[in-house]
Amino acid sequence: MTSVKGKKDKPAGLLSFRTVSDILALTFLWVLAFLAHKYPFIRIESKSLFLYDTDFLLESFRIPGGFLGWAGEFLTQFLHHPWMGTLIWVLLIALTVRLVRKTYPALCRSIWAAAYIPASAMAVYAFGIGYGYFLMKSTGWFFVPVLGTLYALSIVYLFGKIRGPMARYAVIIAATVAGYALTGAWALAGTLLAVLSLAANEGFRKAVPYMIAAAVIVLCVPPAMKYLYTTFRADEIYTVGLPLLDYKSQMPVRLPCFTVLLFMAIAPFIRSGLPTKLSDGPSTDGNSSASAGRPADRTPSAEKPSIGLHSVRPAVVGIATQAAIIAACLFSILAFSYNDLNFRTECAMSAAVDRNDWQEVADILKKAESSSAKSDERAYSARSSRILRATGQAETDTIIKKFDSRFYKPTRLMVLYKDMALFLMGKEADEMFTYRDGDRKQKSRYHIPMAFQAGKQIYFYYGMINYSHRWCIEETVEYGWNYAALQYDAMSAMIMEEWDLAEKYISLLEKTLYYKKWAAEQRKILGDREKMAAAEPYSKVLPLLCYDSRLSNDEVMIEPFLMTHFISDRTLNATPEFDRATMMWALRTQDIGLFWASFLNYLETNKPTKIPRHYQEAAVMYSALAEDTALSSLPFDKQISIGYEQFMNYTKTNPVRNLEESAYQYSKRFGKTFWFYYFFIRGQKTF
Amino acid sequence: MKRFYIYITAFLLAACGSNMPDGYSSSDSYPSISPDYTDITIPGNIAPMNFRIENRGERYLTLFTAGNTKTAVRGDVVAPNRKQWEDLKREGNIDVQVFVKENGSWTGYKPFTMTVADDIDPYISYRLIPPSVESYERLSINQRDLTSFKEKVIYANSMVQQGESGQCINCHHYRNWETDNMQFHARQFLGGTIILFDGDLRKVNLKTDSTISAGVYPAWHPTHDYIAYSTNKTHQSIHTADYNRIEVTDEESDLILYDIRANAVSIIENDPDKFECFPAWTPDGLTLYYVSADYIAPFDKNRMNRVFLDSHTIKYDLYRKPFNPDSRTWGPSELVIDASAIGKSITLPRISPDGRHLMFSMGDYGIFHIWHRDADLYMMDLNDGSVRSLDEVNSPDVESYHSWSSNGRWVIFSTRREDGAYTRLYLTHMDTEGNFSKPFAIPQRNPDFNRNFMFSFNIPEFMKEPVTVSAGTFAKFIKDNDAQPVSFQTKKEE
Repeated sequence: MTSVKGKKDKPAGLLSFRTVSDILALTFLWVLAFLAHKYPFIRIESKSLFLYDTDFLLESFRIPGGFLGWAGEFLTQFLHHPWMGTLIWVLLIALTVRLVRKTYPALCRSIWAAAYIPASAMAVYAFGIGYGYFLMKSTGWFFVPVLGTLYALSIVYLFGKIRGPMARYAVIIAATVAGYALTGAWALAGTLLAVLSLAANEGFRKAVPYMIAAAVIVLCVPPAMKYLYTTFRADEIYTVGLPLLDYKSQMPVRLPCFTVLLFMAIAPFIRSGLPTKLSDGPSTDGNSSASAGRPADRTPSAEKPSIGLHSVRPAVVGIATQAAIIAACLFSILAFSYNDLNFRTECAMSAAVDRNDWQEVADILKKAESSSAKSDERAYSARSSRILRATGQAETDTIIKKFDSRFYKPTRLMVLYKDMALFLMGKEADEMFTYRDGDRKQKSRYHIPMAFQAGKQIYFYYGMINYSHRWCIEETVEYGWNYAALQYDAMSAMIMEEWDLAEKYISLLEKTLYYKKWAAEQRKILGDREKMAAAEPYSKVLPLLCYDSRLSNDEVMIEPFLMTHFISDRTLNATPEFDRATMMWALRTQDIGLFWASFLNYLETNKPTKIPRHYQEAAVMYSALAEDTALSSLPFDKQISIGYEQFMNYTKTNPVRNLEESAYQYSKRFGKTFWFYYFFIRGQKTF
Repeated sequence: MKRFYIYITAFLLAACGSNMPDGYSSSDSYPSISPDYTDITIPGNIAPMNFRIENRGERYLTLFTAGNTKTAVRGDVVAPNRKQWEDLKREGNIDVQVFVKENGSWTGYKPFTMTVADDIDPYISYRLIPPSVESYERLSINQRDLTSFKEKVIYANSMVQQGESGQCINCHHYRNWETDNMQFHARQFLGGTIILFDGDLRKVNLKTDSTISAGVYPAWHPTHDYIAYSTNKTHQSIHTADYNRIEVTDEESDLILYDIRANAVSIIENDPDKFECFPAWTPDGLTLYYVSADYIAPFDKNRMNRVFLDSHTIKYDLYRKPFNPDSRTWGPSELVIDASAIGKSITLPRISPDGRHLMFSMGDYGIFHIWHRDADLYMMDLNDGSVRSLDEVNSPDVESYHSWSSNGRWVIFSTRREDGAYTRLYLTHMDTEGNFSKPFAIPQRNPDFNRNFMFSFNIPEFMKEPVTVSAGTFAKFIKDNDAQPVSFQTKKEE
């Protein structure tokens, strides 16, 4: 397989199969990233910040590894267009695969699929983050593992290429000292892995001085340099630069990184002579045990039998090994990817909220409901048959509880987003109960209060400007400034006519790639109250600012706080919009007295020509419950009364023994009414 | 060789001359520059006053003239280099004229002057903090060399963070502007009051069974080894819609005296119906000024809520109390300014080094004026008791924490005049008559710094010298040492 010129003859079949495999694998990653994780990635981008500004770059040097974070933030901005951001990510993964093969030729010549292992670990990292993205404290974290891996691989590769002890010591020192400043722990790992690779390739005895030097310098540089930096945690000196999660354990985000590093530690010691096609014999290529890019005949260990799978094996073992690695990579990517319908829906709704695309917000929820219709039906059938076989009430209750998770329910955040969107479109009174309600807990190991996730958005659009600002600040103090926080703080300042403050945020957004257009739009109305008041979204929010300020604290609970606000903070200056919001929250409380009080205010300020559907449903039902006939004088739709009668008759023919058991059955006929909400959606938990 | 230098000089002069507009139309208005450094008085040892020209134009030229020295700086970012700047200042007052070329023709804006006055203490320190609500992950106490742009962290709370356990650091303070006697608090994780006393570090827990909290706002005695502190039970709440976004109030507060050598605290004032706070010594150390508000309410579980409901009615007056430092005895308190009688509330009394002037911040209510847009700086002449609003210094927005320089000629104060949210530091010069010059933002290398920077500066304090204890030493000390308890001494009254 070696030509007279020393160049390897590439077996055409092998190359083409590997190339095809590479293309397929990378395309798979790209498609998966783009299709399944598009909206989470958009949110990840909105929680990042990259400014085309020298100070922004210099700021990154205030922490070891900050430069890597800066580069990561630079690349993260392209997730604004998920196809582009994910393409860049996949191309970097491709580069990693290529560099792994160049760095560990002994392993990858025959087991070329081994290069997929680091790639799949990074895919697990990117696809498995889920709600963890809210808690990421390190900058540029999405791209940092792939960039860090590339850096560490480069060091190992470079170290394998250079000759002479002085040059090698120089690389150890430079790669660790400068590398620590630029990439943090990735530099430490790169140095250690480089000498480890040397030990594998040139023999342990020859590598000992370098290993000692590397160990000493890796141990000493962080403590020596830590006092040059004052903006990172002292307990992170050896891990700074790795992704940092605001959670009791760093394993969810660091395990994939450690997997990559572990692979790089083991890779140089594996000398595979496995044939990869049936015509191949065992590898006799001396280069298989050479260090990266170095001719084999200069390597002392080249004549030694290589360690590991070097004996003659049937070719099928080689192919099976490749296949097993590919299968394992594929399995790990799919198994450890976070794939939750509610999470994706929340991300999509949140992105639509930021775009002020209110109909889209509602439609996304509707789409999620529709997509689960069949599984709901299956769950209902399965549950019904199980209940029929149940021997007693206790068993029935157990079955109902067990099946609860199989019925689709939105999270409270989705319900809040949807209600808010409908309210801002003026549709809440006719449509808010036509969507599925619920309080499904977010499927996440992390407990992230809703206020942290969406406080800045929800409070802003409900006119609680100081609280929107509050959650911008709370979020940014913990996790750094981001595009979304700058936008909401800019809008908060605009609506409060704090023009100088708004200008500050706008001028920062003008230094971004994808938000400068938005900033330019804001600048057009900056300082002009009339223009601002007429522009979206201010025109929708300003009418809600008709309450007297009071000292308060939301206790990190958005929903009850908003409810209290709209119910308690009404003044004589209440606008029609404020009273509509009050009505909406009054309906949510399921409080009859509150409904009537709010309804009268609503009638007074809104003077509706037609009473919206849900108000009629509530009025009819509450009147019936109170046996009050005074409502007959109001211009109510007869169909509503008839519908309520049908509902009551249905309850007689289909008595409700257990709310959860009957909810699905009732929802099919009455699920879009206030009555269903009133009777079946009780005690919703908020977070 | 001599001839060579002559040629070079001639060439440079010619080059400079070629930058000057041949002809220009004069404008009778000042150029729009940021920060606004037009007609200000600057310290003789201040760093270059870099600014950005905001007038629209294609080309910019700024001509600095001081005595026989002329310097031209091109571009909209006007940043003379160190040597140019020092040469200019050496000559005296600096005249500045900005030329802007737009649509092919030059406009020469009205010249302005930077009057060079007394030197200033070369260092300041401040706390950098996001305009925070409840989170305080990123806090540091920094020192800045005012003669250059060098900034250094004295201590940052992240340095001793462990897992989710973090610190809140605050209230850095020096004795007589000298840094071998300084203190700051590290709250919560491994917390304590960190005191550098004649070069030795100690970490103490100033909370005793007889006091309501550990020490909070400090005032180091100028001649003896005492530190007066307020003790506070402080809470904050959020306005749902008010421009003053946050309200910080005390549920209780008293004054204590910490005897450093005896490692003991004693009560100065602890009337349960009064909130005493913000102690400040006169330069002779014989009088302690402080503020106090009357507040009568039961000490029950609703007290905090009641305080918030009443927060608009809580108004602080200015008091003073004589003190004999040798015997550590106190005289009776005396009301100095009855601010509540005129519907106002005083905080942060600070006395000038010559003991003649007392500057304070006054707003409509409360004590935490950094969140009160009506808060302004006032000054009392302690010789004749007259009080005046420092209109030449104040802005429509917040003016709050302020410090005198050691020579009494400069005051640094925190203000939110730039955008209403981010606290910035401004300097103003006081002449011998007690009049202040137009205040200006401390210079930064990048004139857009304040606009871009997302942290607030608070508690600006002058220092004659830098803090020499490194941040790492502070961190190690805090990590390695438990806070030592202090004993309680009874108060001595005359």
